[in-house]
Amino acid sequence: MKNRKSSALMVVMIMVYMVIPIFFTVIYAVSTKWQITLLPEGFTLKHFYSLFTNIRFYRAVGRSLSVSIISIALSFTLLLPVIYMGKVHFPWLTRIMRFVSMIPFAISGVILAVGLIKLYSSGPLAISGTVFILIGAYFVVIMPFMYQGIKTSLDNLEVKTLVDAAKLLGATEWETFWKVIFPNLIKGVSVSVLLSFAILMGEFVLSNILVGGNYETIQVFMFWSRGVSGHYSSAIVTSYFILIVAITALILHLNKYDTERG
Amino acid sequence: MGTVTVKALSKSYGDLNVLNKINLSIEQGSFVTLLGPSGCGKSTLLRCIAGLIEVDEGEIMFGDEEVTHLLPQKRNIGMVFQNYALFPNLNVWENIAFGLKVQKLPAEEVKDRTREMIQLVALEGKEKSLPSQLSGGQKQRVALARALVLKPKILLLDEPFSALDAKIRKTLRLQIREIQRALNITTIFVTHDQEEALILSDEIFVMDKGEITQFGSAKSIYTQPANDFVAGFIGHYNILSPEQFEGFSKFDHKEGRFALRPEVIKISHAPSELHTRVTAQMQVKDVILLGSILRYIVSDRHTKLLVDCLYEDETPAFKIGEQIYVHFEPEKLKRIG
Repeated sequence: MKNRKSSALMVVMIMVYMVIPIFFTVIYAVSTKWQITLLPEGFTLKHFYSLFTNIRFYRAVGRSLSVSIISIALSFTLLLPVIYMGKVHFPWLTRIMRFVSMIPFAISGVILAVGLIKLYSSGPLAISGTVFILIGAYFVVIMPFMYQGIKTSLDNLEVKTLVDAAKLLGATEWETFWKVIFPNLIKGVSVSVLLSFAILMGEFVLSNILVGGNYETIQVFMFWSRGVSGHYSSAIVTSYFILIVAITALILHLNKYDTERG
Repeated sequence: MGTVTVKALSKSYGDLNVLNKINLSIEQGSFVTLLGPSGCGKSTLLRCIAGLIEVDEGEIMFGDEEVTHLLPQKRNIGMVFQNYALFPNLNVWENIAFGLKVQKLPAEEVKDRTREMIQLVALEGKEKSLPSQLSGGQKQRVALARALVLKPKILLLDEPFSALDAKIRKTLRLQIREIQRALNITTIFVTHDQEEALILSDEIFVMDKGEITQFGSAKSIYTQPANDFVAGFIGHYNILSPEQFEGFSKFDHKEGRFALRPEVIKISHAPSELHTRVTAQMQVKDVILLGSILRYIVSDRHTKLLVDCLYEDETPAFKIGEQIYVHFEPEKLKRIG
């Protein structure tokens, strides 16, 4: 009993610790002025109004969403066949992929950005400063998470046995993949997709250094808005936070609905 | 077409010889077991017959057709896996109908055949359940129905009961045997459980280290083990060399190895009055109740024997530490080496 109470207290304390910055950011976003007083001097929605009537905000959100979704889709599309083939046909591929997927952890954002600019600023693939280099960089950033999510899902599925069973029922490998493997994979990788999405939406270093104002993401826009006012920045952070929570809740709800379908 | 012939089949993984020139022949409609310990090659042999593993040498024939390198999809085989291999995203109905839909059969035929299979395995009412909502026995029945719905010529069962508890296993194996007899489908069953093999099989192939060490009916395998390995694997044979019979009367052999079934040995407080019997005085070391069987472990200076008696009374007839006489007919002793 005592243990349970102290555990609950610990959880509450941690939640409070994590919620406090968000809470006060929200308060600041709806404050008129809050500098030397204990509480805000007044409340207003003008910062939100200013934000939501700024077309630049929507464009920034749109760009962030686009580049995140494209990077995740590209990662899924390219990694899935490789991991699948490694699992079913070429075990040596799994060993190589395990090593390759860990490399991004060893490279910090700034080093990656500087290296990429140097590599792609000239030659046949001169994509420096364009959205394409950002997509490529994001692909590398989320690779460990997507790889692990897909691999764990395939491991849990016992892919080899399912493929064997489907073969004996007359299915080709393609049919087996689309009708059996892929539908079961989607649920399993949803957490990795969410994690990758959250990482990319909150990513600033690469987007600022690689593309900056050429392709202004929400994080770059937030960085710029520091010069407008702290209230305005807080309104952006609050809106961005609500958006992420809404998308996350939607995906988790869809996942739960699918699980309960049977 | 329902006969299976394997000729000189070999399979290696690197330096490891998993199958070594295997020869076997299975008649149409028979229920045959590949029996052996883990690592003997029985599952590998089964998977070679299914086409899931490429063989290195040898031939596999279904009837007159050589299928050694034929794709699994084309072999018209049904297989039930140890861990069921049900498709997790499909419900019972969809799992069973999967093969029929892959073959693009008319919807009405798919419906009729699927319903027929669900009735055969007694899973009415569970059509919309996902595999995660089924018990182990139910999952295995779905796997069986899915394998049988395509009317295969040959049914392969790869340790299908090993993940189930004892009670479900007993019920399910008899159900499968009944279904197999009703459909007259050639069935190859892989197990390491000798009791299952003896109960279910028309013929047993005992495997050890990639080779078939003995084959025959359940009775012949059990009563006439060919060597040490079979005698040690099937039942609880006492395996003895001549030195171990030193305290026994009427035993003349000087060499060889002998197998003696526990249930043919009799125990008494006095020596046997039948002078033809091989007899020895021993001491009871332990008494073990195995349900309907009472197992005595008896020994003297030279040897230790297992003796099985039918458990008829509540109190064991012989106690630990008691001096007793064991005796058996000489013809019950099987020479195995």
